[in-house]
Amino acid sequence: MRTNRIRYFLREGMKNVSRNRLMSVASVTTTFATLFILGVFLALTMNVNSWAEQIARDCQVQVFINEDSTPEQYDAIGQQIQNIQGVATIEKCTKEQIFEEVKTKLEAKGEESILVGLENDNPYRDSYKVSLTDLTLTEAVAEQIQSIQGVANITDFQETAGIIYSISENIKNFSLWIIVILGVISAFIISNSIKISVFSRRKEIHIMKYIGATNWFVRWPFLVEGMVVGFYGALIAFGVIWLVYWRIYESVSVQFLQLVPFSAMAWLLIGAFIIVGIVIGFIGSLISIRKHLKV
Amino acid sequence: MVIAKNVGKVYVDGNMALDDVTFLIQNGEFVFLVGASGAGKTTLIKMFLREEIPSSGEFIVNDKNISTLLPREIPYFRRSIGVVFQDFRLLPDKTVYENIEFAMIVVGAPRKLRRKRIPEVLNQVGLANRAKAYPDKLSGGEKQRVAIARAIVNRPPILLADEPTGNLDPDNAWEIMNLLDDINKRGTTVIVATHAKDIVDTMQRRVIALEDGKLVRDEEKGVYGYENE
Repeated sequence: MRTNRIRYFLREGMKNVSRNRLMSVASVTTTFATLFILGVFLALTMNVNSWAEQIARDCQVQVFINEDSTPEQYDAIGQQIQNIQGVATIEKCTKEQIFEEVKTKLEAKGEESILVGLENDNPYRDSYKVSLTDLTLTEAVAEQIQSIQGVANITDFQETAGIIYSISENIKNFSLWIIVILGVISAFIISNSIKISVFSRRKEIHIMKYIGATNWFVRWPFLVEGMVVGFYGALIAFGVIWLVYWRIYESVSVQFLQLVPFSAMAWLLIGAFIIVGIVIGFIGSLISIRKHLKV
Repeated sequence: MVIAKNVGKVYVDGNMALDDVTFLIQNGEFVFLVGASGAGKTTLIKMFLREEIPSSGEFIVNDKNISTLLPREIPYFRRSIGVVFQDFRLLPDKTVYENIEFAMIVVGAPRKLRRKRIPEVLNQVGLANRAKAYPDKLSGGEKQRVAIARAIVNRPPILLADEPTGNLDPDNAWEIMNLLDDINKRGTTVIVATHAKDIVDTMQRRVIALEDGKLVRDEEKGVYGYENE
């Protein structure tokens, strides 16, 4: 295709968008809505995935020590855990430490009275947080730790991570279906809008056909129109998601769950939006022109 | 060259529009196509544009049998025929220049050629000073001249005019006919379907007459042959 033809198609397509203003606005809006929901699901999936990763990375195995252990035994157990193959680092968490941490947190909220009377009857237990070199070793390592004398029990966060992973999987599948359904709806609405555009220019199309225009020559301006509409929808959706996400990011401060920063997903979002938007617009207009080409 | 060989056309509703029509039009001829409404003129014109194909017989335009054209060949086939309609069919939101240019863009003519060729045809149809005007500012005769310019800008070997003077007063009608005559003298085959008795009778060109789908007359230097209805 020669460049001056491409320029002609782009110009005509853009002209169609403004000539067909009301329907264009309707199409841009539905495309925006579809892509906004796509964005919400994408952001959700990415965050849930990142949480699962954080949990898997930070606290894979927590090992609790028997209450009657002496500080020497506590240290010895730590030594033994350190020697197990597959253990990367261990972190000592004494019950006093944990008590203090909880106390600080509650004080911040003004709820420290809950702990009154527990100073001399610490309900927590000494423990180690064990992180692994390789997640697949979790089960073997856990078994070996369990067999060490003085170990009361183990909390294996792998299970939790697994559950979160599967939640994120489900969200992904669910959102895929939502996107397909919404995508079809937006394509349909765009196709209606283009149909009106085609109808209002049917005389021109007839003339073009008499002059000897090929079907693709007639089609391209309308395809451009659909794609431009999809593109605008994508840009607006990106802007709105950005704003909304930024607001949430600023206001949510869950200490143990860090939100994925927007910059980490911006490229994925804008890429997905533009591609999905343009594809929806293209398909929508392709459907609507067919009928009018039979001259 | 146009060859119609025993062309018949029966529509799905059983209406026989053309019945065993045979004629030959040589390159460079000027031909009037006459006949009352419903005589089959419209169907014949549609065959020139490959909008209809014969039910029987053969219709061959510029060595192309329209019945065997592939759909993707149709646009290229149509580029060999310029066409002018009674109602002009100009694009209202484009200027005179742009309306003509449109025909060149459609066939992919480069900008350089367009800039050279459009002023030429505007001169030829006598509208050199109206290039920037929009169709609603033009008289009927001027509109038809723009339509003619658009039809010939790509230099098709055949120019087909369907009632080109039907919407014009006699003075303008004659101007259009003189223009068509001039185009014919430059070598283009011109085929004019018309009801204009005085024009046909005065111009003394070949006349092909249809009646009830049959070719009833084909004569050199013919006349309209009917009382005007």
